[in-house]
Amino acid sequence: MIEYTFFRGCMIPALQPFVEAAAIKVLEKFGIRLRELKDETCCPVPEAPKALDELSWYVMAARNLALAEKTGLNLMTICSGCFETLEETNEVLKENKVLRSAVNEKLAPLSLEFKGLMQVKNVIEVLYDEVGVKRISDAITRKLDGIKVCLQVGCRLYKTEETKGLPQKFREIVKATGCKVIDYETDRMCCGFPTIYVDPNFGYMQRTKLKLDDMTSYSPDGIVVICPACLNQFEMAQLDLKAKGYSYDLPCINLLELLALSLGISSSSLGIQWHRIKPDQLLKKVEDGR
Amino acid sequence: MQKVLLHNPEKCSGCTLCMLICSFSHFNVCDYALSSIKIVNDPGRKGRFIAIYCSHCEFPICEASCPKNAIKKDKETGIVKINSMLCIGCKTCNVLCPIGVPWFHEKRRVSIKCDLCGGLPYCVRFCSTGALTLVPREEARAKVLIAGGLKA
Repeated sequence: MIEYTFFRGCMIPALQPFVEAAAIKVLEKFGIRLRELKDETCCPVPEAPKALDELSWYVMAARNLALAEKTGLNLMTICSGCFETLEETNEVLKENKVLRSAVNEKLAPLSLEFKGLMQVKNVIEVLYDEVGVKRISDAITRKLDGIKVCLQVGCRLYKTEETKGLPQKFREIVKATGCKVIDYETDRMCCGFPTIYVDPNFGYMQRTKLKLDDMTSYSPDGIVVICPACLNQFEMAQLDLKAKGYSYDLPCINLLELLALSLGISSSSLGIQWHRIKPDQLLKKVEDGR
Repeated sequence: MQKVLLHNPEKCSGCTLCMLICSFSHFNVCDYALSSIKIVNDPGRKGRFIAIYCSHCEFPICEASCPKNAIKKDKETGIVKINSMLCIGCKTCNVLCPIGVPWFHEKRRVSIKCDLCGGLPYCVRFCSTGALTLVPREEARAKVLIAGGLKA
């Protein structure tokens, strides 16, 4: 039995508990147990807090890492933002001894120390490298052959394109479920989430709407994402655009939910019905494909 | 050896974090209008973006055009900077720059442009996809020529 410390982040437990449930259930099926991390804080977000005070940003991230190091297990995260923060901090502090001692000085009153003994992994890495695409496709009980999806990789994963290849791995895992992956023109475009700092309406109209228009022209059954910010943006934008008189009804689910469904885990046990944009049509298609 | 910004449109997702962090680091507020780097839709390709930013030219026309000598290219770093205390807000640099990099700050009544944050620009550090990098000018030039099909 492989074990990981589970870093859930803020957004997923608060807004998307179905993703958290799916992560635990899916990995359990493949013999990976997730241990909850106690007393963790926000990762913190790789934008605003870092811009305000970089050392505090490193200290907060290192505190989470130091707590995780105590368990003796590697850390796994299901959020792209948490992954960027924790992985970057882990790598930077392992190399940069000056910064590391400055961070450890701040951690000392908490009886914590960053030692750099641990690896930070994204759930995609765990699924692709440790479970493997073949084991995933063998374990699938409901082939999702008839389902067409558009992928939203998200900005942060593209950063790892040349080093870890997470976008490609994400795509292969989706393909392993039997889904047909649609290639669309605006696939690299940002979902529009970062615009919440300035003008959410600009994000809805100039980013999310353009993506939704492009996607719907291929009439997909849904969008598959990995980043919780993208999921939130696609759902909030559709609600906002509906209020403005446009009509969109494109369900958006996380990769882990898709895997859970294809592994035969019931949608009600995950709480998929709590999505803001109800994926009823998609679920019906999944049931029919049994 | 001068380092300059290099934007890779193949990687850019248009998340605009560079614009947000630019205005935040210089004016303590997130506002697209106060950013010295602009991300705009590529008119030729759907879902792609191009960036407009200062090249810190070898022979800056903004420096040559400034009637008050408020713009100087640093001899060591090569960074072209506007001294706000000397700038009279005449907008000559705004008009003469071939890509219109210097912009006019309405409240402060002076022209503003990229100062590369003194060496390690915030836009590069916060770019979410790794599309923005800081590279030596020769390398940037070679990469642009190759991308444009002008050099193998």
